Amino acid sequence: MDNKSKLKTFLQELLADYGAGPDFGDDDPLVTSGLLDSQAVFRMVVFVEEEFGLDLAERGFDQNDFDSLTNMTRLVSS
Amino acid sequence: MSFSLDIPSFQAVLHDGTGQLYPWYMNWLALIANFIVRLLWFSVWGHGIIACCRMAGYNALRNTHKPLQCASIADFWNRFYYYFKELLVDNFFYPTFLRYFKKWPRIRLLFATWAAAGFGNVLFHFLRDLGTIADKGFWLALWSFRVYMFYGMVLGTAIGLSQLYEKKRTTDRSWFRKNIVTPVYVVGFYCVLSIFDDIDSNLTLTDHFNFMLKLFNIHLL
Repeated sequence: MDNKSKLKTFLQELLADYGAGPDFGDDDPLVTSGLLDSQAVFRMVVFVEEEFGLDLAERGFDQNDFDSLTNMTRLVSS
Repeated sequence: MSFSLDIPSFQAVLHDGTGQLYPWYMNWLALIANFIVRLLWFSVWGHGIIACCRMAGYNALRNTHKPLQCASIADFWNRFYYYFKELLVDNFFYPTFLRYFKKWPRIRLLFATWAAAGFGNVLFHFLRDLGTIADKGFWLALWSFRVYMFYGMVLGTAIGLSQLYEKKRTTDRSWFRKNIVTPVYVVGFYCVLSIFDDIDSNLTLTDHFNFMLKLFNIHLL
């Protein structure tokens, strides 16, 4: 499973926890649209740390990196 | 501010040190009325600002969004004061969360939440009242802020524990439990905690605790 697929599966599980459906576009804003909140973002942070070994304290944290599937894929691939 | 139905103001019952002026149920009525009025006032204030943003074409999220439908202590805060919470999350939660206790997930979450809802919250309100610091001097102003510090400490701990033990949002809970029992517990917690959301720095922590005990008809003085 590639990075994008892993992230998409995780986001679908997260959206389900928030009572939202699994269908969303790659560029759909998930946080700034109000679909997910900062508590969800912290779960995303933990996921990318554990799954991809990213250290966001060193890289610098920007919540926009977690706003869409495209942005998250770019973050873990950079 | 006083209320109709002969309900005394919260300031009046809080200053009734000996508890001889008002019976215990009046203390409850004053506390609950004050909490509801502040909740409503805050919602109206936030909605006014968001309405202006939306009229200007910005699709801003609501500041207060159905707080009585909260599923937990953390959820209430998110629904009650969204932008202040986001401010604290950006400036205190993430910087702490990303740096400290990485090997201990539960402590990591608790500490970061406490840093935001506790420390950040208290710091914001302390620095907001610059006039008090100028009038009293730094240390005396800090000392007069001790009740709000206690409030922030309890709030931060409660939100942290709430997040720690919050189960995933499930739909298998009964309607009564989801819509009545949980919100009553959570709103009740915030209502009682609002005793310490210090609006009068002339009273001590002991005064506030005495008032809390008087709610249960316990008089220590």
